[in-house]
Amino acid sequence: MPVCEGGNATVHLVQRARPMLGTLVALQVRLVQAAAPGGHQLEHIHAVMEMAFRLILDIEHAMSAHSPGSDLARLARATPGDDITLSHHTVAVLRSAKYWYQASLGAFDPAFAADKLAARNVRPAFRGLAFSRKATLRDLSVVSDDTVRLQCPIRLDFGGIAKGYAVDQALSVLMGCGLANVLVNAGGDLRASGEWGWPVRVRSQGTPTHTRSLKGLKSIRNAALTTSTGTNTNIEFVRSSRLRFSQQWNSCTVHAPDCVTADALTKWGLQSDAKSPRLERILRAHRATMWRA
Amino acid sequence: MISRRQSLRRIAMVGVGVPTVWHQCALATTFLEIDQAQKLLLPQASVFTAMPLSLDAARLAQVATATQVPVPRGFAPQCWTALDNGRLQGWVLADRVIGKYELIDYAVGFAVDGNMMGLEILAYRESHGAEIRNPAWRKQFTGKKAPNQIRLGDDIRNISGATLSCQHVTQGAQRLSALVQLLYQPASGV
Repeated sequence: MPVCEGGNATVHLVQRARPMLGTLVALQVRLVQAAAPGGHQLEHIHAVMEMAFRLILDIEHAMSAHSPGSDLARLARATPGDDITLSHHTVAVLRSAKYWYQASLGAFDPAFAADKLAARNVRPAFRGLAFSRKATLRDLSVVSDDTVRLQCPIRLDFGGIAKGYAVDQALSVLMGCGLANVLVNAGGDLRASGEWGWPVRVRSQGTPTHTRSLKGLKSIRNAALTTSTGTNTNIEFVRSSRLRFSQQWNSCTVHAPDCVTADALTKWGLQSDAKSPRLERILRAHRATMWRA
Repeated sequence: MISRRQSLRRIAMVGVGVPTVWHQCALATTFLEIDQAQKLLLPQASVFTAMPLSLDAARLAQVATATQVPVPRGFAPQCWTALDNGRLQGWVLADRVIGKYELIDYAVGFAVDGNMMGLEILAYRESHGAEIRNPAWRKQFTGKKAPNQIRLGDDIRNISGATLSCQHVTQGAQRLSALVQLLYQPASGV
């Protein structure tokens, strides 16, 4: 669908979407040129998008708590002290998870989420497992880019950040193959590259058919934007006990340089008081902005 | 003359009213036209020929049994046979599902042995739940009418928020797969 942009230049969008990561993942490439993309150019864009989709599928297979064959299932069945070889994607997410677990003093906790979901018997990767004690991310150490060591088996659910990681990786593939103005949207986890500002809005919690704008942010450019909902709809990732009732948040949106950072910060933000010096400091360090409602 | 109390009341009314003025989505994105999707799903084929499907109650019951999910009312997928130099390469089927608040058009490619080769989302239209349930609203999306008429400004509004499920698309693809298994059996007479 072209739109004239002055002179002979016209805006063209090449877009594809697939059901992945439990939602719809959309890839969008914005081109400003006289002619509509076709021939080799269009073939190249579609081939690159195919690569990005395949990468997302690999990440999904490695870190799906729904799959009994995933890396997360292997971590839950591990023998204490053994070195476990995993996908390098899983190890990268584990590194990020450990960082955010420590930085947030446990507010961001994929082990808590996994225990909650396993108790509801909605995570096939953990079915039939009994644990003598609840492991935390402190029980896991990263040995190399594809190896970790566990002091005891651990149940993890990366619903908090794996989608963000997949978005970041897909964007890297698209950019690495020469596409400039690109947006990856995994069911509302957004990341954009290039100089074009992609218009954004936030879905209203409770009435998903409604959207609202963010104060001071109409578009994203070379950045990520993610939103998480609060206690009522996200009890696996948000512990209401961490907040006074008067401080319960309905939703938290974060603008950050990458999607993993934004994803992790939304979970922390939902469990943090309005004024938290520690959170404020980390937001500044990561050049992130947070909106809570 | 407006009293101070009346002024305060008016300000309060505006204050209450403003936050309730939410933007109601009529968001739409067209990802691919069906001819583009056909080429991406079965690149080895050069000709795609529309093939009408006659789905009687018995056939729909077979599909429901195979997928263990009831067939939605109005289920009427479009089907194309994919050919190259007159040789059958497979089929492309297109259908639409209604999610919680959205209407999703999608196409699935199948090889001649019935294996699913890929799935592409054609269009995604998100709107108010009441509209989704309104047959007149849904009718506007039949055929090719709607996707080409969506303005670019609407297309590129990206929404951050709670993840929407793709469960209905997955179920729909399984339904089409079951249908192709019936197609694949020459005696089925679909």
